[in-house]
Amino acid sequence: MTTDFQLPDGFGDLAKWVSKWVLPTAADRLNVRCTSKMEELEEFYQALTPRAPAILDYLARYSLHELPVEAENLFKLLLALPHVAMAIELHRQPIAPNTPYPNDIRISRSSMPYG
Amino acid sequence: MGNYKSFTEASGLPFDPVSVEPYHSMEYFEQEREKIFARSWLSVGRVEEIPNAGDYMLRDIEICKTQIIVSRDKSGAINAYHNVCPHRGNLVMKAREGNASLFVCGYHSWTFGLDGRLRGIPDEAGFPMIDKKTCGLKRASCEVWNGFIFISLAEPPDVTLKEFLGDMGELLDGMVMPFADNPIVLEATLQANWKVVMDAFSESYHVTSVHPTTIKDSFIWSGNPHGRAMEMEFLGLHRRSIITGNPGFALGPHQKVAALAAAADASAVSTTGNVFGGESMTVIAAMVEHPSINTIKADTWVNDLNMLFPNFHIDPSPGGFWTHQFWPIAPNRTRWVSNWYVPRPTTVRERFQQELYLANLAEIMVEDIGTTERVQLGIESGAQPHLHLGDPDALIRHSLDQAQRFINAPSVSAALKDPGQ
Repeated sequence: MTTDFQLPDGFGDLAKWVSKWVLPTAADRLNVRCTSKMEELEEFYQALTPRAPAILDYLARYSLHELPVEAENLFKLLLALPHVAMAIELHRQPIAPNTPYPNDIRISRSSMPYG
Repeated sequence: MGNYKSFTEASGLPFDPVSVEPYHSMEYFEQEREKIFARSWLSVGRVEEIPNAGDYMLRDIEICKTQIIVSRDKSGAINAYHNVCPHRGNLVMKAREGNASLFVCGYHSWTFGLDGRLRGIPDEAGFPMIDKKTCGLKRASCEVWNGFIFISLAEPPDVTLKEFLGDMGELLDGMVMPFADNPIVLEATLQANWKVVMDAFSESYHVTSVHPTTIKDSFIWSGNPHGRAMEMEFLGLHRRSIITGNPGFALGPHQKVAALAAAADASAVSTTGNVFGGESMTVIAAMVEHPSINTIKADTWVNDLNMLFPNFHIDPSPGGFWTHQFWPIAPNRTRWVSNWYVPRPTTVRERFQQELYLANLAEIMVEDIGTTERVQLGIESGAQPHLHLGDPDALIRHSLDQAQRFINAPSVSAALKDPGQ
């Protein structure tokens, strides 16, 4: 059944986050964070943060531009963490205090790949 | 802070409150159109955006109701043309950027060379009245300074770009611009006057109130509890300031993700809290050595604000450089474009670091931008006909004063001759 999870062996414990948090772009990751409830963000943060060093170690074996699909999924999960960290570590709410959401700011050119 | 230096006094400007009229009136906006934007040199991009012959990009100058093709020709020179077909007035190129050996109008396939000249008319026999030699794309003046491409819609401009940039141009000349080929771009179209948006990036007085959870801790400390600028310079049309930060800044124990991104290389955390790979910090160091940067040699330097008249900021920092452009659309509507120049990530970890950088940046920008539409509503209410600017706002006072002087001046050269300082 591991193929259904589409994560590398050893990271099956993170499978429940794949459908919501494996996203193509930074704008998508930001948007999902801003529209999630704090409890969901907290749960994701608590699950991913302790696993992040192992994820980075695992992915270090691959070239950034040649990730196999399972590794790519795992990386995209990890890329959601900085956005979620803004809510958990800084704001203690899903969006920055006193800021409008939705807002008009667009990321029209991102960091690549997976931007 | 006992020997407090008054920047307003240094600017030579009166202490009076300033009128809100420039921020909302249609009459003033028309003057800005005719006297400022139609006469100034305007920054529209970087040379790295169009590296090869035939590369082009479209740029909107909404306030002047035109769209410009900026392109590189076979000799390597950069040209600017109004993107308007002389046949029936259609906008010639549609794609915002690309590579073309000819510019072909989508309406009747009139074609133009990279030199702007009319090359081909389908069924040319039907156009005996057209002299192809004189019927090309209309040129806009175009010059390059430090890799930044500027255009002027004046016909012709009465000063060169170098003259226009004046002391500011000389001061910044030759600065290394790290990663200039690779910006992260954040933009927004806002219901606010372009100067309201520009003012949001013209002082650090707002940091405590606007950025309480993001950058306050890296800026504010007991030695500078209100985020005062350490220096301001008033350079004719242009102006600049030096911003310092908290010398004791370190990632808090709660910032686990930032610590994780930096873990492999402690030197990768710059004083502004940006996280980049160690190697890229070496490249940034080459920029930071430029004599214009942090002229007061503050240990806690965070960034310089270099504000080029009328609507362009170039801000170097220990984490690289960024730019802001503020494009007026209407008295209460602005297109803001910010470019954050970063190294191309080469490893998974570096790419992860950049996602953190981007995530931080998006928060900070939404905080800055979030205030602008509220300010516009307040100004338009008319309840406060004047803004009561203080010393932290001295660059804003200078900006308003220079804009008015420029509008009043019979020519750009006259404005440059009498900067009023």
